[in-house]
Amino acid sequence: MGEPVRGTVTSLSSVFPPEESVKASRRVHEAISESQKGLDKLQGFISDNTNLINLVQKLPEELHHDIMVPFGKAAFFPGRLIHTNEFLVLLGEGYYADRTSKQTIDILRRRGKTLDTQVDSIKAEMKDLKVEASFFESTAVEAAEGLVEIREELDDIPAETMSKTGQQNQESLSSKAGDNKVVDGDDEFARIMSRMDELEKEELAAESMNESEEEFAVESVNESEEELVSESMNGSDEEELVAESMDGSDEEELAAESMNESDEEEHADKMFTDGFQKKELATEDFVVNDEYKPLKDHIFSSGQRSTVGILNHTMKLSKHDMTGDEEGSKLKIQQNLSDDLCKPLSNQIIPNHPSQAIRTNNMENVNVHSSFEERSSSGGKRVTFADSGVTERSPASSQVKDNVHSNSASKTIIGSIVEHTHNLNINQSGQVAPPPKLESSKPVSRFKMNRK
Amino acid sequence: MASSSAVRDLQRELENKANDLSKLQKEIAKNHQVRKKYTIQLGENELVLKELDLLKEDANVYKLIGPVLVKQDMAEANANVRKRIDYITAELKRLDGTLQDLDEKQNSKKDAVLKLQQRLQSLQAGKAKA
Repeated sequence: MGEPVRGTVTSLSSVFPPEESVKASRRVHEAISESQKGLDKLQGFISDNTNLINLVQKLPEELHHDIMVPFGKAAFFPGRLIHTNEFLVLLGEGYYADRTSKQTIDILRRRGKTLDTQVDSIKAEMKDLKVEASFFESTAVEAAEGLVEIREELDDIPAETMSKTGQQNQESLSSKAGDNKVVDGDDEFARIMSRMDELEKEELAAESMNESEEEFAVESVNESEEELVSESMNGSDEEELVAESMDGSDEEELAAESMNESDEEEHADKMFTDGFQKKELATEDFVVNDEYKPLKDHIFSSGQRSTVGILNHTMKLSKHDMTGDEEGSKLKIQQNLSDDLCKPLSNQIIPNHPSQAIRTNNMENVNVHSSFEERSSSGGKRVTFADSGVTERSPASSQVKDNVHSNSASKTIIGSIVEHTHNLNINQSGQVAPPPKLESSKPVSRFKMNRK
Repeated sequence: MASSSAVRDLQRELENKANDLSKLQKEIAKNHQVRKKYTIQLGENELVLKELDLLKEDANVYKLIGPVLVKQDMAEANANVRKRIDYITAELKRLDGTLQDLDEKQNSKKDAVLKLQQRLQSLQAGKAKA
């Protein structure tokens, strides 16, 4: 994350001082209690009204009622209630009117309606007050905790970085967000995510290096292929990384370090472009197709190489001369950023190259992958699939092609990784020997097999 | 000492102004109360008018004057209620006017008090320096 932080950081406590927000919330609470009292009074009126209605309804049922008449403050005497249908109703302001039972009930009902509307208005008022109170309380708490509001301007994030949204980014972001109130836009988010992605790759690269030293048979990608790959890789950050890693480690170099950090940082383009010296790198036993180096699980997607994947595996440049295959040998190892990062070993080779044979091989193997050891050596790297999961490379180049196509991302590797079939045959034979050396889980350079 | 007497004068003035201000505030509060009462009465009278309209022409209407319930004419009652309503609305308007005047007076008094306070403070600061 090299981007400078722009924007302002405002402490919530400065905008809403905690004491004031506490006072405000208290005030609001008092207002709420007052309206609650009014509400209770109104509810009492409403209940009285209903009782009265019931009584007025019952009275006309008899011609006269025998009752105990209140007399003064503390006395009653027996009496009779007559004219049971005549009521003197208070209209208001000292005005009374003679009404029948039914008319009285109508009057009472109308009064009840006005009471109801009053109650509704008070309830709405109370709701607003409650919302206000909750807001004040939350701000008081937040200000006390020292939350900070961050405002940053939106930046135009390059497409590559944008595409680099990985899980890591999200994780990192979420942790960030948890601490602060981020008021940034989505662009900021993507930017951060891409940065985190890069960082993660680096970490993974470091891990991978420390991990098994399985070698990847990276299909030797012809330099041209590498270039192609790199081109294709341009599309994505991964690609860049791969290229870089590829480039950076010219084979031996790559083997050592590249995978680790360089991978992440380097772009695949570089790697590829630098050429297939990687072929020379080859530590692998894999038979080096001249063109292909068996791709291990790492799939370089048009230059994309999940640094993670690469890191995990030390790319050993086999002696393939990937260059031989220029078309097919280009290994596009695609590393699925998110997946691969998580599983360093799994790198998918993107069959960007027309040389599908290689790709397909890769694809097959790669897709499954998880443990790739890759050397970031550019070109001629052999990626050996660490995972046993990787399907055996299909010797058939056609298959490879298919896979490749399917796997290839938008990037099209010009210099197909696919090896020539004839080479494949050779490789296969050659590979037979090497595979034993490799981890059992790793298939022998598939590319070789797939090479036409 | 001249400064101290000036300070004392200022303080007295400040007190006077403060008293005026509090008086004004009391008046404003009273005004509010009366307004409230009138508003309630107005509401009640309007309700009575509504009910009276619903009554039949020959219905009995009584008015409570003190402890006496006096029978009244429908027409008379209607007229009385209407007059009362008009009276109350007029009163309310008047009260609104007075309230506004009081508000203005209060604001001006507040400003004067503030100015006095500032002067006092500056004087005292000057005294402290010297």
